[in-house]
Amino acid sequence: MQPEAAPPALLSVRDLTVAYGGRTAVQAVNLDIAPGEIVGLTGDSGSGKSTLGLALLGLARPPGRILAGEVRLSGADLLTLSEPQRRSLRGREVGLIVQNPRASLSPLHMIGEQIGAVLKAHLPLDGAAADARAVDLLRNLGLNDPERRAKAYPHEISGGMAQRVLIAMALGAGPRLLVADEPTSGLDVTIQAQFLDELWKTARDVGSAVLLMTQDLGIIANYCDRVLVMQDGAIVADDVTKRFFAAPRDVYSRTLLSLERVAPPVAPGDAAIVLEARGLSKSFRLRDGRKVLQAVDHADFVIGRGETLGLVGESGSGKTTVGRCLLRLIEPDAGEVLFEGRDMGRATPAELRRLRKRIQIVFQDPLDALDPRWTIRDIINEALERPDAARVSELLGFVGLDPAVAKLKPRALSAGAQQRVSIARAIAAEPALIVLDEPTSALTPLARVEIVRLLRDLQARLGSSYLFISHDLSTVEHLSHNVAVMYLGQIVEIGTREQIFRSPRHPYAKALLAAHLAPDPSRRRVDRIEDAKLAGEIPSPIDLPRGCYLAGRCPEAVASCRTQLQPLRTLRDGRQIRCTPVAERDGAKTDPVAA
Amino acid sequence: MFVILGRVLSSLGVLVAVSIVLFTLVHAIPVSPARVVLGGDASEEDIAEFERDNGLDRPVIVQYLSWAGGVMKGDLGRSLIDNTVIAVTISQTLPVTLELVLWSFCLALVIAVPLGVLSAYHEDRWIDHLARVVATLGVSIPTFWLGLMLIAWGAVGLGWFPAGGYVPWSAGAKPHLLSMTLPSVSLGLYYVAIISRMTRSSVGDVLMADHVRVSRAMGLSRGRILIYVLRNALSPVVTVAAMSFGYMFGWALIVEQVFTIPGMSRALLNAIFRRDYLVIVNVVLVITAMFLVANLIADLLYRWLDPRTAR
Amino acid sequence: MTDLNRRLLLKSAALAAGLDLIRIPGAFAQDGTLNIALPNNPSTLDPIQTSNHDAMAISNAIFENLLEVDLDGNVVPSLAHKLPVINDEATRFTFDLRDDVVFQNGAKFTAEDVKYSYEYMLDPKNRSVRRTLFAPIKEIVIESPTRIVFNLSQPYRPWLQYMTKFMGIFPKGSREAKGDDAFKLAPADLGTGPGVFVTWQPDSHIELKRNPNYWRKGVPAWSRVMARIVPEDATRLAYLMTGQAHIISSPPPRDFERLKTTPGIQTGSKVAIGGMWFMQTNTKRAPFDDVNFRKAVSCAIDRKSIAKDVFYGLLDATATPAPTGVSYYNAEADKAVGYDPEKAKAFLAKSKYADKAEFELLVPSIPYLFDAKDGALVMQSQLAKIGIQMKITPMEQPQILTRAIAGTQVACLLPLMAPSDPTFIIQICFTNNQIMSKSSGYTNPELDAAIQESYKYTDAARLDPVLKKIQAILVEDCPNIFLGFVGVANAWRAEVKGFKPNTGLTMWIRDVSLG
Repeated sequence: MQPEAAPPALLSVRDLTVAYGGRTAVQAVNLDIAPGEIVGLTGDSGSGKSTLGLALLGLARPPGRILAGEVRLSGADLLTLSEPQRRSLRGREVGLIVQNPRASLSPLHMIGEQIGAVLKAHLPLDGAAADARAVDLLRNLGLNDPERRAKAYPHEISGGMAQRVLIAMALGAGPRLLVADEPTSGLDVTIQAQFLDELWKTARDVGSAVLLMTQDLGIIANYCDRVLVMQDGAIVADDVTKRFFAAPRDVYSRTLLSLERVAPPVAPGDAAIVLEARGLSKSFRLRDGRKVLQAVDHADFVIGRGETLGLVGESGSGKTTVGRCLLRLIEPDAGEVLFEGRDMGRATPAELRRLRKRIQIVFQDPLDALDPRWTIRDIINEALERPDAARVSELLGFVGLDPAVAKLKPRALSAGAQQRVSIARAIAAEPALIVLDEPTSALTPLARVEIVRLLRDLQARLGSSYLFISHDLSTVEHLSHNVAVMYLGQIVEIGTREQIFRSPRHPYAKALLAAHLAPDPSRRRVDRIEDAKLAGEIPSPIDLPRGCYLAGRCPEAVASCRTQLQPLRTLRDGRQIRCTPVAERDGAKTDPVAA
Repeated sequence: MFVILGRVLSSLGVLVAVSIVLFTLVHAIPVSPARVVLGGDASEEDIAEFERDNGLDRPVIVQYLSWAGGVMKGDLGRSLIDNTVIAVTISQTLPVTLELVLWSFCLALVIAVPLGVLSAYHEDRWIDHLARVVATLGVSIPTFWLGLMLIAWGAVGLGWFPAGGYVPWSAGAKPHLLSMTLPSVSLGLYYVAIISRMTRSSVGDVLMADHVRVSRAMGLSRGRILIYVLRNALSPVVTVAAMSFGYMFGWALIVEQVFTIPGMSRALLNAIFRRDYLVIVNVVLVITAMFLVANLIADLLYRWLDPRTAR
Repeated sequence: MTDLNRRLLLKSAALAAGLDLIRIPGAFAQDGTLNIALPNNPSTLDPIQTSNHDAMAISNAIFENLLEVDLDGNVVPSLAHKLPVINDEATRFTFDLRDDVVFQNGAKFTAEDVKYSYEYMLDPKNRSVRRTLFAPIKEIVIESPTRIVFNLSQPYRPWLQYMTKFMGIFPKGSREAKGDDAFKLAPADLGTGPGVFVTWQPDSHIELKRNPNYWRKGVPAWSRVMARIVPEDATRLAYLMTGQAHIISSPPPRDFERLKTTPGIQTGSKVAIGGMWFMQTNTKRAPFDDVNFRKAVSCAIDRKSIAKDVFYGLLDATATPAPTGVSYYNAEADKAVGYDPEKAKAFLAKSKYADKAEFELLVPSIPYLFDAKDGALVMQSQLAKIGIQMKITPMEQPQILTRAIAGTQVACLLPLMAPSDPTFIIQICFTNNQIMSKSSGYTNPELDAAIQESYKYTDAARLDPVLKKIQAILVEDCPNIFLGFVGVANAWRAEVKGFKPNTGLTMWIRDVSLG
């Protein structure tokens, strides 16, 4: 699409300025969106994206105020209209979707009622007609039993369903522009992909333009026609998607995309085994005392010296529990963990204390893990044999921090710097293995890139092994040598990075990887033929089916899948997979360890 | 249903626990009621005889059990001081206090909730400042002093209301309501302050919530959004209102004293002055029961307001 | 704070009066109802159990006795048609009874009823709280339906005073017929008095109606009495201002001066002969085991300034146990231990506690009839001037009483409201085996003899010298620090006629009419 030759703009913003008190959040922004166009707006946290998104509807989050500029929607300046006039344009001409769909619905009102309220606000419908229309919309969204669903409260429907309800509301009155502010943050990758597919398809079908605000360049590469980059309240780049990704012109985007251009780490040649888990299992009894949640189900894997095993899976897959069981922060129910050849389960308390020094963990939220009353020096000293200022400075240097921060307290640092402190503390005892539990999830995209680089550097210098636990496939791809995919407590496929990312074999791994949105417009998901799609959503990890846990959703399932547990079997290329039909097609030998 | 049953049972448990603690505490008061009944110049022998006759010389546990046994049979016992039947005292005074508290409570709600909503909607505008002034006054003016000021203004100055006293319904609705007006206002103002502040902050929080922003962005009318906001903001208000309702029984003590209203709180005050053990225990238990009932109702309201807790 | 309240109340009342807003209370007066406001809810209306003075305003309107005290404090005949004939030893009292009295239930009043009532009260198993006051009554003999004789075991003058307050006559057989609870809670038709009990709503009001067959012709002038219980001082005042009450008792002392000048309001006060206020010092405990120290304290206290500044004239300041206005007042005794800082210093120098002059005073934390706290504060500063440190400890009244009775207090300040007999408090505090004996720890055979002698006399000519001698003894030994006599005050609306405060601390409503 050629922006220069675009038809008259649907939305045209000129010199828009929004401020919170004395601080300007959006600074003289100009932008145009053509009818039917999908425009991505990216930028680091605090760059002003959300404020801009709201201002496009003539709204500002208190105490913010729109100070100047015009927002022309089909020619009329929204900002000069009266409040009732603006109100009638919202929803009818321009809709808004924000992140966290469930929080976007009033938790105490039935969803049918909420959809109906939006319809009634813009369409000449009475109550009954609006309700009927709401049920129709729900039906069109593919919900079964829409009459009953309409009477459900937001907490009674899944997150995915809530998103569809929101789309229904946002598009119900047929607006020609949809503003979507981080609509998928916090969602699992498969649901994110489903949602964006749906949004993309619906927008294309009704010819709505979309302004899609996100920090995830993968989303932009996959769904957007054009890219805007925001920094400090101003738009610093505006380009067609393909050209943007080929040669980003702004520093921010270049930094984010820099990882793509660095070769992934090379696995060390001698892979002496540092840790081996065999049949690791853990279940939790729920509060009612009867139901059991199987969090980890016979997990087997090995981690070699200097190697990174990436552990991926969606929420509830049990990946975090695996990490905690390794350190015996959680006592596993069954299975053994051999660390440097020694069985952790049989270690005496004294041995365990010593072993714990050799295995460290870094948590997702650094503030939770760092005592806010202690200085950085105290925190790192605690991990050392004895206080050692020189060593503290050295460690801070290792993680790229100025040794002067040693006298500060954690809250004085940015989230990225806090995470560096956590890492410095973890490497202080020179561990053989570091469990990294979602260490980048709480960070901004820029900080995430920095931490990934740091982890790579440290591994090259210190030769530590990592167990890298994350739902973020891009980061896993940048760090891991081997990758294990978990589904409902089971490892369903484990192999090298190339095997898993280039050609996953397990149906679930295939679906997961297909949902991965790489920041590469030449690998757009929307251009791919959908062969890996799974039906429905992840079932609850309580009361699991008898056979393969995926059988109910799997396109390749055969009758035996529903009744027989699937063993982990090794394929000819060395990877292991928990799917009998695929393994048999491959002609795999029967694995000696049956699950 | 089982949840509610459970709540009722646990409330009964609380009552029993409170009764034990009360009974023990009241009996720890150093001066015997015999001294009050028999007067300052009674001899030690007279006092011992009185205590023996009234069973006050028995161990506290025995006294407790015999009283509790009576309660099970619906017999709350008799006052040690004037031998009146406590159940009768309570049945005469409770309706008065209950009515006073109910009026104050309704008054507080009717003023506080709209005031809180308005000030949340118009943060830092004149209505918000006005509400803040009302709230500051409400929490800082002692109920006692407010009562006297209301008497000085409404009764002595304007002559619209009686200076005190309780006129029963039977004497006519107008005189009755006039006699309840000043007491209700002086009891209610504090809770206008508390509840309006709570409403303001709760509504303020909900106004910041994503779904309200989304509703605005969807172009919903102010009225429709207000419906969403109110329902979402009400839960904490219900909590505070239920607690307020309970606390009012305590503060009614001062109001009944100032306005000379023959309610239960005043009976309690007299009982305390007179060391009337059983009356103290029974009245405090009734007040506790009111408190528990208010909380139970609040609980049911929650369930109705918030389908998430309805499991 | 409360000071401010009342001032504001008075101010607004004055303003209202200026605007003619103080209504001549139509609704309250037209039906002939007399409205009074009392601070305390009675615990009983039984005349043989009453100890609360507020209750007496009611019980004295229902029940009567052979004698009564007039508004000036004189004992005058009531159901007896003249004062009793007393033998020389004061052990035999002969009363001639009125012949025209009927009870409220219509029965005729005779000597039988008198004998029945006193014997019922004297029977220990009926547990009259005031039985001990009448203990010397040995025998009651009916000579005729209108003549009755009381034989006493010893000379005992005071009982004539006591019967005016702590006893009433009820019909023969009424206790058995109605039960004690009826006397206590609903004494309808049980007395001979002007008011017939109608209803009592505890903590709210007591209602009486006019006794149409009352033996005094022409009284009462009211058709009903509504006595409302209004504990809060300021509210009681508001009742008076708004006309909800015609008469109130115990107006706050500090407002009393101002009330005097408030249009439409009348006030009056009178010294209560039984309202002795003194510091109960324990002569068995340091530092009050030294008479010089006691005298030092007595001379250090400027009672007159306390009476003026703290009690606004509602205290008759005296250092001797007699009001200044009575015939037996011993001015010399008053002077001997009255305010004189130089003397106080001299006494202190002589005492063994000159170096360590300090003590603790217990003061009621919740006032009963009378707020002693402010007075205690002034005393504290006066004592400090001559070098005595007094520590004030607030405590609940019953607890102080318990300690005083057990004699474990060092000093306490508790107004004792006694019958209006000049020797009552002296007897219970300074003779052996009395309720308050241990609080002073003091006895003196000379004093005992003087008290016994006083019991023989009922005429001032013989009685006054003995009473003066008693004062001289008590001032010489100074067992306690006498401070003065409490005034009883009332305030009433201008339309109330025939009302005056009396010396007995109660409200006398029989002769009141509404103009």
